[in-house]
Amino acid sequence: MNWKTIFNPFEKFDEKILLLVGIISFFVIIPLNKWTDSYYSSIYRIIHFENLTYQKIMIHDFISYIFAIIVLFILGIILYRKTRLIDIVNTVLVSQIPLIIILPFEKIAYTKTVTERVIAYQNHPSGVFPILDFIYMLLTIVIAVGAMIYSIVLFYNGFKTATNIKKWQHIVLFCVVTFFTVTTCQILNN
Amino acid sequence: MKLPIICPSCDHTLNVSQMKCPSCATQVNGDYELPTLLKLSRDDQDFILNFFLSSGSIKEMAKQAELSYPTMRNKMDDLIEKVKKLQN
Repeated sequence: MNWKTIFNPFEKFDEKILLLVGIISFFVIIPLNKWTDSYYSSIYRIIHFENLTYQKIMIHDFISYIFAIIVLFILGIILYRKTRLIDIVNTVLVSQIPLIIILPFEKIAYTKTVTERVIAYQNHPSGVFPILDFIYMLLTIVIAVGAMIYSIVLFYNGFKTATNIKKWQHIVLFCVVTFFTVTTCQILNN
Repeated sequence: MKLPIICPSCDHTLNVSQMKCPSCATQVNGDYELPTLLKLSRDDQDFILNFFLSSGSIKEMAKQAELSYPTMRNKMDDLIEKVKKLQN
């Protein structure tokens, strides 16, 4: 596996394998959501809420995925009539996998303690600078941002492979539609 | 030996000016345009040949090349566009 495959697995792997991996990831996200008291109000938007049931999480997560799939599929058909639904489904499912890493961050008690200690030092700088806490905080930020960027890259490459878009106008349209899809879904699925 | 299809001087598509019978050495001179498929690069010609040999199945070609179906379909569509441009 080379870098190209890591950033665009849609170019190499069979759609059935990608679909299987995507569905498994969806069923991994649900218990993680339950553990972290969160749900997806849209793709790329995690909402924290107390006492969520499995049913509620599943419905919210399902709506956020389906909403993105429907809108992207319609856009795909408009831009390229040979766009297949399975390729769009895989794009949405697989692109959300890197975000699994972000979910447990807030639940780890150590993260909260470290953040509080760094903030406390910032407000009242006395004693030794908590360098280890700062490195830990920085590391979590780098991992979270990295996962987010990787997810967006997968999302873009998946759609590009599914629809064969090349023109910059189409790419801009894809970005605008994605932004509005995510925003609208957040409002409706809150 | 590879058939040169692009002029090394100005990058224009080359024409055929001479053909020779390998049996009796008869030579025909003229100014013949290359057929559309021969104007394509070697890789593109191989792609079309593979498509023909896999009975026109993009899925089969994707399997052989260890690529996904949409990648192979996109390559095919890009090639169709290229051929259309060459025909105009």
